[in-house]
Amino acid sequence: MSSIFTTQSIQKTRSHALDRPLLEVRNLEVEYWTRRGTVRAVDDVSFDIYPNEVVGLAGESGCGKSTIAHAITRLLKPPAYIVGGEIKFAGQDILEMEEDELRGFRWEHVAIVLQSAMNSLNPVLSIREQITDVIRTHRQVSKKEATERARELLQVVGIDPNRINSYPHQLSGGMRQRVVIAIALALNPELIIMDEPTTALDVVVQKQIIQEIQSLRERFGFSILFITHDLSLLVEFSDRIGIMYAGKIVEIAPAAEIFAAPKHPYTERLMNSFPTISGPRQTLMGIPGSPPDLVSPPSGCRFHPRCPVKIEGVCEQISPQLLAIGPNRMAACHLVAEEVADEQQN
Amino acid sequence: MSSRINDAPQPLLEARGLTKHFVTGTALRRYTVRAVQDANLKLYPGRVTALVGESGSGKSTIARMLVRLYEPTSGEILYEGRNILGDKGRKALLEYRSHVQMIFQDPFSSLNPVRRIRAHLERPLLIHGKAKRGKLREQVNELLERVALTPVEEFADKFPHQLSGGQRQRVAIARALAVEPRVILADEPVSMLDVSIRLGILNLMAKLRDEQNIAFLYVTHDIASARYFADETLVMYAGRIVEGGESEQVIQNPKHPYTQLLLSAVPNPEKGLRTGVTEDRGEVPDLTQVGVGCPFAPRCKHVMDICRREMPGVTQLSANRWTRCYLYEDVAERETVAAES
Repeated sequence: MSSIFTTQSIQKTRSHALDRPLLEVRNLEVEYWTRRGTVRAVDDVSFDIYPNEVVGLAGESGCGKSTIAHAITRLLKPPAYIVGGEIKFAGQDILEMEEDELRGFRWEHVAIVLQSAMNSLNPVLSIREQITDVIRTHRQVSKKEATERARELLQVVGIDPNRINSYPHQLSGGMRQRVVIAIALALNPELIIMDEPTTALDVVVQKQIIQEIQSLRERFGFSILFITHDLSLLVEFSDRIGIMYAGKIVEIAPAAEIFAAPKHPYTERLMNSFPTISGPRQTLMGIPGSPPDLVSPPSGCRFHPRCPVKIEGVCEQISPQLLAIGPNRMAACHLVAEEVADEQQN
Repeated sequence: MSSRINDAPQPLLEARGLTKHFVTGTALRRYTVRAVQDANLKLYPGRVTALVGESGSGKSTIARMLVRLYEPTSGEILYEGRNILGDKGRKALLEYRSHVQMIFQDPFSSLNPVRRIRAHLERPLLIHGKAKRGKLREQVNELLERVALTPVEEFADKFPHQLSGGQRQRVAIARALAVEPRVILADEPVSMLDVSIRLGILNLMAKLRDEQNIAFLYVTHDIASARYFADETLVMYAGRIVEGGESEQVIQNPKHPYTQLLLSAVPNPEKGLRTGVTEDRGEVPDLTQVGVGCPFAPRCKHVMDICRREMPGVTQLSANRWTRCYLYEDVAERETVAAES
């Protein structure tokens, strides 16, 4: 058997320096050109992902988090267009890549696991065929070698390799999602983008899969961009978290800090929208109003119509910039900026 | 919240031994899906009972039987102590539904897209004979007021697509309220809504419980929301209700091994990722295959021989607390013996 397919050799030689970002997103702007008008779904978004880091993106439906996932993998289709900004992977600009370069880049360097992925498996192909397809498209190996690798991958994600000839309908939802993760791991990418990977699953299966991903990450050292609306899960799983609202990142900070002391009023209210199974049983308020229609977003800070602490005459006029409010921590809020300025004066 | 369980002597709606089998497959190969087996529950005025379970556990089937969308295979449904399963015909159903209403998960498909909100609320008033001559407009406005869709006149003239998910679910609640029901069965009423607006809907229903004394059945997969909203919580697994009691007790001190597994899997930032269910690899059983024993037996780390042979009966752990698990049977027996001697 070829040596490149033994478990140890799944490890790619990682040439990328650990202290430099693996992925750099700078001032990204994505628009949907719809009949109702132009929707700026992602507006001036910047963030980094370092090697072996889990960065979480949270926000409500329509806040732009999935659009970012699709932009990074260049999977956006019309009417969605990237209209500005840069996305660099290991220094290389993804937005400049030609279609054939992209084919080599996806799966090889960046893989993506979508919420509906477990339903995206081809129903008439066996698991073996679907995994070996990906391997054989990218690597010059025999069918036998690819099958060996596929069995190994199933083992890695906790599926009995003897089920390799099963068809998707013979597997439960949780097992299908594991297969999708196995395919994502097939070429040992440096970054895996997971867009609501467990949302359609029951909570026990979700926990099994999240723990599986965690141990795989420890073993193989890839980075993850983890996208979900479930803040509790995100805080548990991520190193750093970005909170999105109406197309913008409003706060980004280490997970533990965001959980302990959210700074942006939206983050704070969002945290206060989740009932928990421990701690005091108190009345939670949620957030009054609804997320805005991005065809005509609110002026100034996009959260101001729902914000209970907005500064009259400021927040509805001036869009706040994402500013450093501590080491490794940023927020886009006039009130927070004022507080930070006050602290610095004292 | 906690004392409400004891204060309510007479259940408004009760299920006794409720069972639903669906027969599927082809003429040659029939399968029986045992969706719900021997479900017992009581709903009281001014109290919320949560039915918690994962997808396919049978929780929605119970709600649908209670609102008479599905005919039970066996068992009884008692409204104010009277078995209503014998009542047939449109008139009896209409009468029953003027007391027992249902709210569905999907506020996008449960409203008619070509009708204004006003029409959605006038219809139940007219059908159930609750409309007062010349007062219909006021009645609709009042319903919208109760679910906080203000300014009411403005909302009454809108179409469903002009409303957000949360606002549509408020319309669905207002529509249920139109007939002045005493029981509302809410099947995952917030799970399709954005997180920031879920609380608003739960808080609205809590207000209706408190101010109008409505009995709620809250069907959900989210046990944290059950803790928030429900006075009593019942836990379902593969067609069986396996544990029940005051919500806080069930959640802080789960007894049934399945409830313990479920709670250990709920994301909890305070405890972190490394606690919980690593060794569990089990899956919910195929409901055409579940046999006579406890459905959780194949996954249970405490499994005994008897668990595979026979479903355990109800073990009363305290006044408001019970489970169906052999682990607790002899504990209860011992305590009974101790109390008697």
